[in-house]
Amino acid sequence: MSQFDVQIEKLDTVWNIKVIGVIDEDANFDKFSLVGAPALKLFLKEVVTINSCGIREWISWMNKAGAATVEYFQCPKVIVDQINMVQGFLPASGTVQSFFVPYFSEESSAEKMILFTAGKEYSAAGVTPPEIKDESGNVMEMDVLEAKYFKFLKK
Amino acid sequence: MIDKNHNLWNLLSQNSVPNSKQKWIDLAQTKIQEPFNQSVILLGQQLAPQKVLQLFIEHNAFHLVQQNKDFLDQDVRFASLLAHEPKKYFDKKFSEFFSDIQKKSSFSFSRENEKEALVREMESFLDASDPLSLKESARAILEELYMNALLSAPREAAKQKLKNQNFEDGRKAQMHFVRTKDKFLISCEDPFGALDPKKLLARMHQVYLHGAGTAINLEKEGGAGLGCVIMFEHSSDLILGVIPGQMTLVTCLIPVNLNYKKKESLSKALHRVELSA
Repeated sequence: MSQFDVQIEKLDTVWNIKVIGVIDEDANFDKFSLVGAPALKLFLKEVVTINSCGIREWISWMNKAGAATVEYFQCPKVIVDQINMVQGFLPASGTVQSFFVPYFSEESSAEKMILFTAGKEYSAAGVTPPEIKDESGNVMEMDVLEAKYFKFLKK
Repeated sequence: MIDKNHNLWNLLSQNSVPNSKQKWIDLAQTKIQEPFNQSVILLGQQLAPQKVLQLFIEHNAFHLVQQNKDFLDQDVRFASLLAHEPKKYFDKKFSEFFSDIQKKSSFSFSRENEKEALVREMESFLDASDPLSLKESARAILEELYMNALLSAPREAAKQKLKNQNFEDGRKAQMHFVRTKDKFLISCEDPFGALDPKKLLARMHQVYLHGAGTAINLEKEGGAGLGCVIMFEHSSDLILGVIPGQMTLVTCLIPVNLNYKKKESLSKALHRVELSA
């Protein structure tokens, strides 16, 4: 069985939801009803991986949120890839408030995941990537095909 | 036929199986005129996945290799052997396909609660120092191969009323891992042989054409229909192999030493291999 969990904190005006682990064919969202949610904030940095069945389960789950506004936070790369690949993975009313971007150093082969936050590293005007250095002080580069990885920001 | 690039022609000659009756077609130089057969190997350059699928659907392609500079000689050797002696693929004679195998392992499975153990085996097989791009892609591919072998394949075998339709009587699926200097191979074998490569490729083409969000199967019954596209997206090479009614063997190759950006920049190879039982 997958190591999957959903933790929901229900406040008056918003439900904060943390999703943890592997979202796969065994992930059961039925016990985590979103019916009646005023607004949803989903914190996703602890999602390890999601497979094709998990994508389906996710979309079905999100569809039950009704008219609630949906915001995704701390999206790992595996989630950003699905947002870009599968229309509907992020609901039409949804926004991404923060997500991780991989950086790479050619000199040291160091890798880092850097959190980009709406209003800071990106906005409607575009992406302003921060300068990131490895342990030796070498400047690292964003390790993505920008047109592909940031595609969802243009929608 | 290759006739305008002397260096390319030399590379093909040096790396093809000697005396094989293969025909190499450089898509950059040749206008497609007729359907292809299993002895034709197409050579593409920076073809996007959707275009690759289109060649397989509309022109009956079986093998396509792309001119990725650092891997071309190896990819040509692989494609040539696969086209010339497909039985070696089904016999998993991977040492004939790669001259620089560093390690290999195989694991059997037949139950739905064995995935975690398989994931741990794969993580142990990979090196801690391997790039994130390799680890992420290996995990994504393993997820889809596992689900296909355990869930989709028996379901499809039952629909086709094949001889083997379940994992009873000691039947098992197998996951194979092979590591060479440049690539990690993950290959999944099931004992059903229910794969219909043309149908699968048509499905993949639909996903690329209309978008995954439109093409996804949201019904509870059956798979979501995105698994093969996910595997293709994560691989540099995808091989769909079937001996109908006997065995399906699907293989993905992932470059081991590339960061995300370099790996994403590679153009993809695709092969379908079918043998009569």
